[in-house]
Amino acid sequence: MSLLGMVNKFKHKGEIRESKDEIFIGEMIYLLSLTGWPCIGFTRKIMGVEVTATGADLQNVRFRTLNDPVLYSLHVRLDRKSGSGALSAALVGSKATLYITGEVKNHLADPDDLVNQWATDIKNILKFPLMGQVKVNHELNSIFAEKGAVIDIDQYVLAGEQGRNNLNALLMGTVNELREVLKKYKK
Amino acid sequence: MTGQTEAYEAVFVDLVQKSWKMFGEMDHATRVDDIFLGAVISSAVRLGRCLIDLESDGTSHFVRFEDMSNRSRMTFRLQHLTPTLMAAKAQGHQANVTIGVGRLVSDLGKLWGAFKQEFKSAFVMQDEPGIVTLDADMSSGYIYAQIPLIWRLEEYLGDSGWQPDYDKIASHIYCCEVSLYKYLDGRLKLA
Repeated sequence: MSLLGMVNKFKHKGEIRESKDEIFIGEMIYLLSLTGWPCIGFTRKIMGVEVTATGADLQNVRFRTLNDPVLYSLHVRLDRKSGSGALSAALVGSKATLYITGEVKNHLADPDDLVNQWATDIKNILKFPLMGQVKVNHELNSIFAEKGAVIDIDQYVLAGEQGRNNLNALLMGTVNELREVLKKYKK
Repeated sequence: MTGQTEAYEAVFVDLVQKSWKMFGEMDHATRVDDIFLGAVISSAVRLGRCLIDLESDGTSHFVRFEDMSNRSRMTFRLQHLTPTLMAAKAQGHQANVTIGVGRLVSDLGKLWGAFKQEFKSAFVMQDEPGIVTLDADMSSGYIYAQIPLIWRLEEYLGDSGWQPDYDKIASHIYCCEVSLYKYLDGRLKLA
């Protein structure tokens, strides 16, 4: 093998290691497309405003949950914490925090319904859940439920069919949990 | 509640609901490029490729894929030209699309040749579609051939605009890739 070939091989390994969060996002977009849920943006919604918040180790993707009886959209935020470098990958693996947020949208127009919604808004403001618990939040016509988890990306990407099955189980399990929490808010 | 108040409320509810409907149309018009890009990602992953690069600032998007079996790469750049409802109603959802294919090359001479070509490409009118240019990534050893095109995005998103035709997208990208590989391989032999 030529010197350039060896350098390329080394460089290639590094590139793939750095790209594991993107590979994870790609697999997720594919799996949710099988459910009929298209990707609708690479942004994050903060206080009703969409902001582009995608960096080298931070991914934000939104999906429209077409034909779902409860959910209107889904937002996924992947924040990679380790594993971009060879040393951290060897020592602690590719750890990341994954936040999945389900949104129920109520197009409320009746003034009586609007008054009732404010009452539930205030109840949820002071709740701060621990990692792994579901947090419910209201923003105008939307109700959000969010669940966060620390994951090892290597269990889900470049791990063949088993990795894809693991990711599907993680996604669908979380979505079912969020849907269960949110269904009482759906008008 | 008097009958008159009920009548006022009915008008109020109707106005709010009509506003939601129009807002939905405007919202969709701004998201067409994102829906399409998501469909490109999904189509590529379905074919066994890995997404290795994703950059998006909301209107300009870039993704790069790699086939892990042979290390070949595909790039896709998308820029929505009609991101508002008014522009889309007048012209349709048009977008600048640049598709590229990349091969890993271990021959420094070939890499350098492509790099020189890329330098010349900088002087070509880049806003014209259908011009194949070469690009070299010296750090990772890849040579790319790429072509800019103009696509009408609604042709790929179904009647509702929310249901992408993944087969059609994959097929059109594949047809471009075949031609680009033919060009790239021909140029590499000549280099």
